[in-house]
Amino acid sequence: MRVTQAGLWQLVRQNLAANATRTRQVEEQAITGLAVNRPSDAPALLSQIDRLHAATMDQDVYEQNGGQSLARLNQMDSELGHVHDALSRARELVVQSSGDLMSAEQRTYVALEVEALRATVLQSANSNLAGRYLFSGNAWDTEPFDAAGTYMGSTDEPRTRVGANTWVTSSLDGSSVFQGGADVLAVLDGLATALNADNTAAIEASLADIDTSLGQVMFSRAEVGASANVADDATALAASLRSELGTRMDEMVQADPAATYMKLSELRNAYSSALQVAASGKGESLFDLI
Amino acid sequence: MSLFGTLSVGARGLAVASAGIDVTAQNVTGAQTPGYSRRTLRVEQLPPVQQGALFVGQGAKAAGVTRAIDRLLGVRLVEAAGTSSEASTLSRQLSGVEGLFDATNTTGLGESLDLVFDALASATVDPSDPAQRGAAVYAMTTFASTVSRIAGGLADGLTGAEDELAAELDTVNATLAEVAQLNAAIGNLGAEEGPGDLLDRRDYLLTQLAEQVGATVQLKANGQAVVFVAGHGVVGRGDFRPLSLGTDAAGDPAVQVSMDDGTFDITSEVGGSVGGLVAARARIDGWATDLDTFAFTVANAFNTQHAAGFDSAGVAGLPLFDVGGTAPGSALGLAVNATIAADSSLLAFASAATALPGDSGNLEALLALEDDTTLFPVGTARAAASAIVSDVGTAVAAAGSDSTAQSALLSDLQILREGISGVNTDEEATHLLEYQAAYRASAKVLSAADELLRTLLQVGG
Repeated sequence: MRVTQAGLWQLVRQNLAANATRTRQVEEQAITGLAVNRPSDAPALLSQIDRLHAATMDQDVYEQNGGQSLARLNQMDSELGHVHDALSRARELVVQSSGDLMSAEQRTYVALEVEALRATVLQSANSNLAGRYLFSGNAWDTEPFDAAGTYMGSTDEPRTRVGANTWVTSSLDGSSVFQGGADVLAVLDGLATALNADNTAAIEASLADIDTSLGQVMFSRAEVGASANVADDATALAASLRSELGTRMDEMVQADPAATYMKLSELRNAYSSALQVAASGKGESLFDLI
Repeated sequence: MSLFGTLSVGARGLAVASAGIDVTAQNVTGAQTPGYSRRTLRVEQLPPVQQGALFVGQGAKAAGVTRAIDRLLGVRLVEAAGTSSEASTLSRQLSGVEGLFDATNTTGLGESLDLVFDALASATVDPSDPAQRGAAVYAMTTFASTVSRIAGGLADGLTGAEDELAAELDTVNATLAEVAQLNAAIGNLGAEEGPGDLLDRRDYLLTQLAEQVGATVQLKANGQAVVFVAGHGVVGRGDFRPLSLGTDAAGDPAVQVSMDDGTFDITSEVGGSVGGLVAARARIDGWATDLDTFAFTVANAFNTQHAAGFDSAGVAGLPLFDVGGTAPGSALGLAVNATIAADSSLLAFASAATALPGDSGNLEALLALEDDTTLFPVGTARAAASAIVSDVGTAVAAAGSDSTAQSALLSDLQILREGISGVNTDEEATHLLEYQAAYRASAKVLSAADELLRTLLQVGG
C-alpha cells in the first residue's frame, strides 16, 4: 500500500485523539475516585447501583430513627423505673402504716412522704425528651397529666419506622400506663388522704390498688423494653446493612486507586511516545536533498 | 528524419517534461488540499513516420492528466462518512444531556425521590415536630426542583438540536447549490480528465453532503453526479432541490423536500449529522415525555394521598405538588404547593380531622407510596426513575460505542483513499528529478540539432 505524508499525519491525529480520550477518562476516574461518573459509564450496573444507593439511604434513616427511638424508649424505661420504685416504696409505707404500731401523727408524716412519691410519679408521667412528652401518645406537645392527675394526652400511640417493615412505639398512651387498671396518681392521693385521716381500713385497702398499679407499670415497662430491643436490633441491623451496602456500592462505583494510577501512567507514557513520534514525523524529505 | 524533425521531437520532449513538472508541482501543492486526488501525466508515443525504408519516431506528447481514484472506495467512503457523522452527532447530542442524570449523588432523579421518602420516614419519629416537617418540605422541594431542572435541561437540549438542525439544513442547501454548479461546469467541460479540479472539489462536497445529510450519489458517464437524499434526487445536471424544515402532524420538526410531485417528509430517512440530530431530538423528546409521565404520576399519587389526610389544624390536605391536568409539561412545572412550602404545618400527616398533630396515619400512607408497585409499568416510582436514567445511560453508551466504531471505519477508509489518491511528496520529488533530467536531455537534443543546423548553414554559406 502506498503511504503518504497526509495519511501518516491522519494516523497520528487519529491515535493521538483516541489516546487523549482514554487518558481523559482515566484522569477523571483518578480525580473523582469513581469508576462510574455518569450513567453511560456503566449502564448495565446502573439499576443495581440505584437500588444500592436507595437502600443505603434508607438504612441511614432507619439507623437515625432507631437511635432516636431507642433514646426515647430508654428514657421511658427509666421514668417507669422511677414510678415503679415510688410505688414499691408506697407499698412498704402501706405495710408499715397499717395495724396499730403507728400513731396518727406518725401517719401524717408518712402521708407527707406519699405526697412526695405522688409528685415523683407525676413528674415521671409528665417527663419529656427534647421537649417531646413520653406518655402523651400523639399529643407530643401536650403535658400528659395536670396537677389533679387528669389525662390530657392522646390515646393513640405514634410509631416510628426503624426498618423496611419495622416500627416501634415512640410515645405511650399515658392513660393506659398510669390509669389502665388503677389510677396510680389517684391511688397515691387516696393513700395520702387515708394516712392523714388515720383511716387504717382505707390504708390497708389501698394495698390492692398499689399492687394493681405496680402490675400495670411493670407491664408497660416490659412493653417498652421489648420495643427498645426491637429498636436496638433495628439500629444495629441498619448500621450493619448500611456498611455492607456501602461496601458493595464502593466495589461497583469506586475506582481502584492503584489500578487507576498504573493505567494513567501507562496511558500518559503512551501519549508522550505518540507525541514524540508525531514531532519526529517531519523527518527527512527528498526535497531537502535536491 | 530531417534535422528539423529532430528539433520537433526535442521540442515535444521539452513539452512533455514541462507538463510533467507542472503535474508534479500541482501534486505537491495539492498534497494538503482536502479531497485532492493525485494526478499522473499520461504520455503517449506519436505514430512513426516512414522515410524510405525507415519508420522514424515523432517523439511523444502529453496526452492527458489522470486522477488517481478508486470509484468503489469513493462510494464506500461517502457512505461511511454519512454513517460516522450521524453516529458522532447522535453521541455528541446525547452526551450533552446525560449530565442532567447524575447517577452517583443526591442530585440525581431517583436520589432526590429517595430523599423525600427518607424525610417522611424520619418524620415518623415525631410528625408534629416543625423541624421534621420542614425537612420533609425541603426534600420535596429538592425533588421537584431536580425534576424541573432535568426537564429544563432536556428542553434546552431539544431546542439546541432543533436550532442546529435548521442551521445544518442551511449548510446542506449551500452544499447542494455548489454541487449543482460544479455539475453544470463539469457537464460543459465534458470528459473526466478535463475538469479534474472541479471533480475533486465536487467529490469532496459529495463527501460533505454525506456527512451532513447522508446523501448518496450516482455518477454519470459524463462525470456529472446525481445526488439522492432519502431516495429523492436533489441534484441533477445543474439544478438542485433545497431541503427545508417544517413540522409534522404532531407539531415536531420535520425535514422536507419539495419535488415536482409534492412535498415529502423525509425526517425518518435522512442520515449524516441531520439524521443524527433528528435521532437525538427523538431520543431527548422521548426522555422528556418519560419524565413528564413520571412527574405527573408521582405528583398525583402524592396529591391524592395527601388530600386524604389532615394538617396540624385538622384541615384536609391541600395538593402537595403543583402539577397540570395532563402529563405534558408536568416535569418542567413541577413545584411544591407554595402555601405548603411556606407553612409545613399544612402537611397532612394526620389520618383524621380530629387527630392530633402527632398523628402519623396519613404520613404512613404517604410513606407507603415508596413501595407502591402499581404506579408504573416497571413498578415503583423509584424503579421508574431508575429506568429513565438507565435508558439514558444505555443510549449514550451505545451511541458512543457506535460513534467510535464508525469513526474508526471511516478513518481506515480515508487512509486507504490516501494510499490511492493521496500525494507522497518523496514520490513527487523523484518525478521532479525525472522530469528535470528529461527536460535537460531534450534541451541537449535541441542544442545538438541546432548545432548541426548551424554547421550545415556554415557549410552552405
